[in-house]
Amino acid sequence: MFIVKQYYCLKFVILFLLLGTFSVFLSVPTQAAELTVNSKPSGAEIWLDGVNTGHVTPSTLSEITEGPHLIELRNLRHYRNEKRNLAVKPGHNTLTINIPERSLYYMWLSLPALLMGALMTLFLTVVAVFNGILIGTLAGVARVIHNKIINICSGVYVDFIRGTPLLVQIFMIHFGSPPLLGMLFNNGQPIPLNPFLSALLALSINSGAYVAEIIRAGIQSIDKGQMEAARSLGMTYRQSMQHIILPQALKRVIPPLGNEFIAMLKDSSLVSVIGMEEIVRKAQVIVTRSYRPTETWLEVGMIFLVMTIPFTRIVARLERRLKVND
Amino acid sequence: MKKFLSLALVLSIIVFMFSGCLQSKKTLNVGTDATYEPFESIDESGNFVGFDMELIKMVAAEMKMELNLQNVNWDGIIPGLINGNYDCLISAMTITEERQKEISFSDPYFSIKQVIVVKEENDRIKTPADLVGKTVTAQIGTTGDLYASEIRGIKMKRFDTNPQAVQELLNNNADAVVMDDLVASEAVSKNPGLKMIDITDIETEYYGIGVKKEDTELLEKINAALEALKNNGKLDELTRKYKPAN
Repeated sequence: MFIVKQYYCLKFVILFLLLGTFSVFLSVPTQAAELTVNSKPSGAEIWLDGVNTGHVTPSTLSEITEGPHLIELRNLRHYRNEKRNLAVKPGHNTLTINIPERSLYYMWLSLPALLMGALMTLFLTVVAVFNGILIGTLAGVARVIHNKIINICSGVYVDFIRGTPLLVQIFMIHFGSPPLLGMLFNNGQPIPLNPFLSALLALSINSGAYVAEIIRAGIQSIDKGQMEAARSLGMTYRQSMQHIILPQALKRVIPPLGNEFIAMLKDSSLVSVIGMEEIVRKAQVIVTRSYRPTETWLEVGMIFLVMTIPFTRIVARLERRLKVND
Repeated sequence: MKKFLSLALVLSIIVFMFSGCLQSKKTLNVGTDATYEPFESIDESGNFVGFDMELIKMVAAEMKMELNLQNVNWDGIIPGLINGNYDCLISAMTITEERQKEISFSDPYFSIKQVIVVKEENDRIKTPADLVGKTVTAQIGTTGDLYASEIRGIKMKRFDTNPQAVQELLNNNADAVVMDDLVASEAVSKNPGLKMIDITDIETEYYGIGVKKEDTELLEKINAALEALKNNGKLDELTRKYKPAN
């Protein structure tokens, strides 16, 4: 009898255990979890495992089973489709996705900033070449004048600028000269140059040297007879230069000067290294944030073409027109 | 006509030259290389954003000064300070002995460690020792650059901005990039397919605001402002915003 009681007790215990586990099994919640999907920008269709949920971000999908799922964001105008694999855990889950723009849309969005930069590039070029012509005319004349000292001074200037890279000149002026200027004028305290000033100085001085050579060649191409005739009429060297030789020379060198302008448009991009906010620097700042160098640099190249091609055509036209005159 | 044009151009140049002088004396000119998310970068609207940017705004407010931020290139940022283009610099710059020879630093305001970033599929690189013989990029002149360059047998490629160094990795032109941990997590989150590897036993680095050595007065003011921000909890709040405790 004792054995029978034990047997019944054991059966009860086993039954009780079985019922217990069964009820625990029953009370486990159905494996549903929640997923909140956010996107920047919002408004994308949310597709779950290849099926359109009918929701649009930001939205919360309730009753998702736990485990791995494929979440896609689709059909947002101008933006790419993005997909993410997410292991959904019980309870509340969040997923935030930054959706990248489609290439053309991205290029459209970066256009305003780049065009502002292009405007600065144009401005720098115009001022630099204008100053370059002023400096270059003086230096060019100085190269042909019958005064050895002036010849040599101008020669040193032209050789130095044409013999060193523009990048080095930019660094020398922006970073190198403040301490020197400081020693000369400011008791050793460096005098800072703001990037705009350094850029204009470097580009103008550089342009001046190349223009000097262009103008020298232009002057030397004028028939010697012109100078002889001017002098025999009683003009001084200065007057002959000013009224007879230079006007003819300058007209001859308009095409090469046009080429100098186009070259300076491109060379001006080097001032990005001193932080000058022209188009290349603006592009660098954009790429830093977007990690899309392909689209950005392609866009910069195209903007440069839009700037240079019209000038190339104008210079070609001028060349043809002036040839006819000769 | 030509004379008028040249006069106009010369005048405009002079105006630009002296435009800096027209500031009220109470402006704090700050230089930064805004290509370094999440510490300093330029957003779509052209504003300076990031940890350092928010911090320096608070510091300037504490010092009751106006703020003038200048975006300059990293490799010219210290020469620019020494030349006087700006009064101080804040650019996630680690305080190092070498740099302290040239400029002074404020009290530390942030701490980071160098990490290695590689492509997700890369199982071969797990420690700095694995970088021997590999091509590694870094931003020129950063502590990451200095750290990696000391590894014998490493092939270093240095770039002007950090994102360029990362792009080189993305383009499969390099095996790894070495950079600060917070910048790395930002780069990894923005570019799928990358992962970050911690470097064990590496020194913690501290960022400081740079001022000219002679500028002891400004340094004291900045340190006082930082102290105030530490005491009223704003620095902690800002740190937690960018470095959520995990």
